[in-house]
Amino acid sequence: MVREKLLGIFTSMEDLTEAIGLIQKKGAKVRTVYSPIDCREILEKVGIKKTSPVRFATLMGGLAGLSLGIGFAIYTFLEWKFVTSGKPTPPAVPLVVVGFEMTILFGFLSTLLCMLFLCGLPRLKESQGYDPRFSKDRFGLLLECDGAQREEIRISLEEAGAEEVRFLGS
Amino acid sequence: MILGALSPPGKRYWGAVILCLFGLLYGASCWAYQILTGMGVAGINHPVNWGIYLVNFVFWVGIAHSGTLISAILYLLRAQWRTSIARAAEAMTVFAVMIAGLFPFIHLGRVWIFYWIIPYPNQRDLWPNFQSPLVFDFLAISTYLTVSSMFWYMGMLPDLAALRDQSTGLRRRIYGIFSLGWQGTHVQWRHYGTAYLLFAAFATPLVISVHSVVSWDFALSIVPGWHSTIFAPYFVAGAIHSGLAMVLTLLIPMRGLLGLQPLISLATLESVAKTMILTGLIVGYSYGVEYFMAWYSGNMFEWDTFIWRAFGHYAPQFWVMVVCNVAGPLLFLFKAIRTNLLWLFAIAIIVNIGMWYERFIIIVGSMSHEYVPHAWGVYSPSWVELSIMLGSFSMFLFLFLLFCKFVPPVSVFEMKEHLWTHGKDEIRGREW
Repeated sequence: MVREKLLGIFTSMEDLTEAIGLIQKKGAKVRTVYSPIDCREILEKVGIKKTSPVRFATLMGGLAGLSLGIGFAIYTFLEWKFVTSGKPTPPAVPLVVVGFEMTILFGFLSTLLCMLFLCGLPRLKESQGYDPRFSKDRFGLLLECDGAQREEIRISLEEAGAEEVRFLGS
Repeated sequence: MILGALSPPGKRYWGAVILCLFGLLYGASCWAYQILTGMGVAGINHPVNWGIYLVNFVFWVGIAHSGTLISAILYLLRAQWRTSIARAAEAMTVFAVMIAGLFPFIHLGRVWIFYWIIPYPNQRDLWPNFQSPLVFDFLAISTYLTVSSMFWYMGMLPDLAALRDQSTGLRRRIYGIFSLGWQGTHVQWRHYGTAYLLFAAFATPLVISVHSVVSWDFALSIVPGWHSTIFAPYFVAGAIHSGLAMVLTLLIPMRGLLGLQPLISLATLESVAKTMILTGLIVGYSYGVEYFMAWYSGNMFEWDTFIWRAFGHYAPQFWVMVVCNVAGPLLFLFKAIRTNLLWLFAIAIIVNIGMWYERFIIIVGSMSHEYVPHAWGVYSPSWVELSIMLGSFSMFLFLFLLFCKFVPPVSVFEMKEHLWTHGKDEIRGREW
């Protein structure tokens, strides 16, 4: 069976979420939802967890930074002992500062890189179906359905309040 | 409205840009003169070896604080009033850290070997001393610069994409590059939302740590007036106080010039003013506790230094500091004052001046009056130091003026979200 792609453009979030529910009942698959704002209701409707695995990169990066910061400070101290009277060796307090800053730096950078990777950024070409209005005030619903269902889905989208429906081919 | 602020500017704007550029070039040429001639052209000398270069360093790091405070902490607390001012405050942070980072280089003298402060083994196989607060400082400031600039940039990503989509020609290309191809898909929003929350969570303790580390540059020494455990919270409170004052100093003219009054409302500015009452009181309390600790310690050198600060050579600067930082913001207790733009702006300037003098009193006031009376001496900045300081202020305003015209000064997508939460259909067909 040939799969067809359709794009529905909406002016309101309620219409969009209603349309997602309708077309999912009819067996169409949501490919991408475009939105000018971060709306968690969309993720709920599409059936994706709201939290992102980017958190694990944060944890790993933070732990790596902490180990690296403390390890580096201890290593350099052992290489070049700068003993200050009455202080334990290697000194604990300075390690806290170095470890803390490195935790933040590595945790932040790993979060950033992981987020860019998972978001597919940087992206050199516009994806199929993207409309410049999606960054302003319109919502887009890109879906995939069986060729035979095309008209039925189109009508459902329009009934849900789509301002415009486009066929994007198979 | 917000994107309208990016329309081609008028003559007044370009006049201000050119003026700031001249100030910046003048400051840069004075630095070049210092490099060519030697550090003798600066006023720093025994016993005051840390002059206004380091006063400015601490001042600009302090200014850098409130941007991240407003943006990150208020984001975590879900404070709605942050939305309209967070972007400008973050920009202020990034520019202020950049300028702060320049001052240790200016103070170094032989700036071409600046890389010696980077932790790596040098020619003599000596590793940097991780017990030194100067190494902490390098790590903290470079981490803060990286984190605050990336936090600012990532916060702009959806808005840069909106600008790309509404532009043509070269502007479209440039915004296209900087928006990284953002399309606002549900997958992108999902990861972006979580990551931004984590960025804010990282930035918040970083704000506190950076100025604490800066304070330890002083507190870990044994100079009277510096060797105190109160320094970290005292510096953090002062930094937030000065940062909030700078936010008001920049936002009040910006909202007028760019026509952003409906977005940056008087209520928002009033919230900043109310916060300044609190920070002003904390700063005032810190001044008092410093004196109490000096007296209660029974250390004659400590107590003498504090007496000298209030009644010695730098007494005028000391009292300017107290009046500007503590008494000035208390005027905000009156609603008529904190809702009047002229008063808000005037008091913000007064606090900026007071906070600059605070750093002057701490640094110069202590170094000029240490333990041995034979080593006492006073310091006055030379024309080169003052010119470089003028250059730093010019550079700050120059960068801020460019920011106002090339990126949205208010977060458009967060304003849309705000409207979406409160009045769902208001985002449709609205001009941003």
